[in-house]
Amino acid sequence: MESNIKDDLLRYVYDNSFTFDGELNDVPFDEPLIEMGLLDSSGIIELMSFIERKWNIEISGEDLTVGNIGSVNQIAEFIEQKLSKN
Amino acid sequence: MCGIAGTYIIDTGKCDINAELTTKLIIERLTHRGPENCNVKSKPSWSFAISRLSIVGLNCKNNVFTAAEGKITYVVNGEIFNYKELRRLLIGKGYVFRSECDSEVIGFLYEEFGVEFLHMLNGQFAIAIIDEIEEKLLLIRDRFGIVPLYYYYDGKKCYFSSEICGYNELVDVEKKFNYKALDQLFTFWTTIGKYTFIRNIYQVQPAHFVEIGPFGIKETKYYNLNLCEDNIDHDLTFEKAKEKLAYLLREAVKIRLESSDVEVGTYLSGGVDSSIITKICESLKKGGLRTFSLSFSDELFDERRYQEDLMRQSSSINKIINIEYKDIFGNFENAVKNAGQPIFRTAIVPLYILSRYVKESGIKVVLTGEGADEVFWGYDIFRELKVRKFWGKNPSSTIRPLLFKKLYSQFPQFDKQYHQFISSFYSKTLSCEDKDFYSHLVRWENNSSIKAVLSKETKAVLGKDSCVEEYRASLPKQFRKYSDLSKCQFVEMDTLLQGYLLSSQGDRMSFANSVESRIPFLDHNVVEFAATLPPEYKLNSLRDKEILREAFKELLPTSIYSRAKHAYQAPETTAFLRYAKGSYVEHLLSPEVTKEVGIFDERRVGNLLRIALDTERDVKTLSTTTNMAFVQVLSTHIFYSNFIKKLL
Repeated sequence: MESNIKDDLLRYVYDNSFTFDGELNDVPFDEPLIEMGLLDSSGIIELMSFIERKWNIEISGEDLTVGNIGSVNQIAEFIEQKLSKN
Repeated sequence: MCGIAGTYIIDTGKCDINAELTTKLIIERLTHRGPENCNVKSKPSWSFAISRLSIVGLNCKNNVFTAAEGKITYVVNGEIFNYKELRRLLIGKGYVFRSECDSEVIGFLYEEFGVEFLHMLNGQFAIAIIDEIEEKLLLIRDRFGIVPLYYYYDGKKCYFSSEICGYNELVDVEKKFNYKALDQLFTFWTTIGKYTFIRNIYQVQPAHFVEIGPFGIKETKYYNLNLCEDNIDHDLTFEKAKEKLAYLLREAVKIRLESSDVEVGTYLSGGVDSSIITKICESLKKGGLRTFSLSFSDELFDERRYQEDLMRQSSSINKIINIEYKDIFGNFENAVKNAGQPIFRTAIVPLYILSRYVKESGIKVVLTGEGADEVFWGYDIFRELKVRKFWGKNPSSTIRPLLFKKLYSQFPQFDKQYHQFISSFYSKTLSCEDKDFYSHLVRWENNSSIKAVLSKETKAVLGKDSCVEEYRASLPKQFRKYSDLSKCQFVEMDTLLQGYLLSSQGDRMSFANSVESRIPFLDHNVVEFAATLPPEYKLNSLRDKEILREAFKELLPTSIYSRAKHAYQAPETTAFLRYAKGSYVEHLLSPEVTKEVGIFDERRVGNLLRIALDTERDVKTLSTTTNMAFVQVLSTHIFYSNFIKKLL
């Protein structure tokens, strides 16, 4: 389950980040996406919208922390936690 | 204002071009700039043409003037606002005027003072002079780059034109796409220096003149704004400064109203700057002022409330043009075509629509609030610089970055906890050690990251050359004597103001519909005075344009006086989402077109198109980089199709 989430997130970054200059295999798992410049701060909203649609979960303002929305691994973990509570 | 065009052949024995015919081909493309009458004057070695929008001296029918017994011929695009005073001076010296036109002073001034006369002008202008005594062509632009002028020069001949589109019919001017300009757009949001998007066509830079003759070509900067710290008048009290600013700005508006034989209106956004200009106009005109505003159906961009606040205290008649997504989508192609270069934002489009309405209302001249945010430090980038500097002194502070909340409060995405991400983003910029570009390097690096959409071939053409380093090498010597905030002002004026706001978004959008915009905040007396003000008079803590707000407090509704800076922008990709399918957007972003043009990476353009065609998407969720990538790629393909090679 978790690896699929990660794959979907990697694919999302690959297809939707117009600042990512590499191939699908090059999308990093552990680097914070905003600090790396792969997402801009307004891109968080775009990503949240994608996550809500894709996994049918609701994200509140309180969920938006640098800890939750950091690297692909951190985001995947955050989604896992949300799904387990549903 | 007008459109001007010309041909200059350096040695007719070595060049078989028909000067008059070539000049006519250029001027015919510029009729939108001057739809009322066209004059051409030619000799075998040169030909000048002007297509005129009559504003001063309405009865003047021939605007290719001569001086020095016919040895000096000249055309002027723009306005010389202090022409009455200069005319009196010249009459006193025995010169005889043949018209009431403001531009006639230019030839006599040149005859009397040489190029030194440029320092005597208060105006917005582009001038071409054939000097048959010294055997040269002179091309001149105003101090801040309000009026455009482009040239092509190959060592044997020169063609000049008010706009890039003037070269469309000239088959001997090869139209090669300038990748260097693209690199600049994807860094600075505009081209820098003399570059344009066509490789061998250049702009005369603001505050420069170009001389062309048998000696070759020579470019000279004739004016430098002094932003050095030793130019600041620390003895000037805030009260005295307010009084002087109120006087200078009123004079700047007055001279721009008086230098017109036709009705003058204003653009009113609802911000501090355009509200001040509108209120000064009202007081000078004593009723009957017509103003023009934009509103947006998308509330994120709408400022109608403030426009209405001002109108409640006003004698003017305001017309508000409302912009919907379909208006942006439907007018984008033509707006880019008129801009004559690719762009990074859709904000030009509403102004293109607005000038059409202004023209239909029978108005040829409008005053705008442009320039105040650069001169009086109104933009977020000045405040952002201050916050970063403050935070940088104590990088471990968790309180200091909270100041970013004050900067980005107009955007809903910065509500709630988003400031965490802003802080996280800016934390990496604190260690920036670039003393020249501390203010701008973060923006430029962000912009540059979108170069990921360029094709491998384009990246190979660009190589490792850095346009930032090229720009650094062009900085004037005194730049290093400026404070960080003054450096920020210089860079804003040198890049975005002249290269985008005054040109793509300013002159080109108003003249697309034969409307001239005049800019009181860029009166050189106002700009030079602002440069002498102590910094805190402009940016007081994080309150922008302090002195402007205070000097004109009595004229403004409280809501506008105390209003935080609202950057004028328009809906970006969201405006295209419901309309892209089957339209020019789908065509221009198709794999076939992307492959044919070859500038961008096919997979990434495919992703942009997928986003544009996704009708299920929540229209408010697109990121800044997605929007910029979309607008830059689409507008580059529109430019390519109109100026390089038609994309069928």
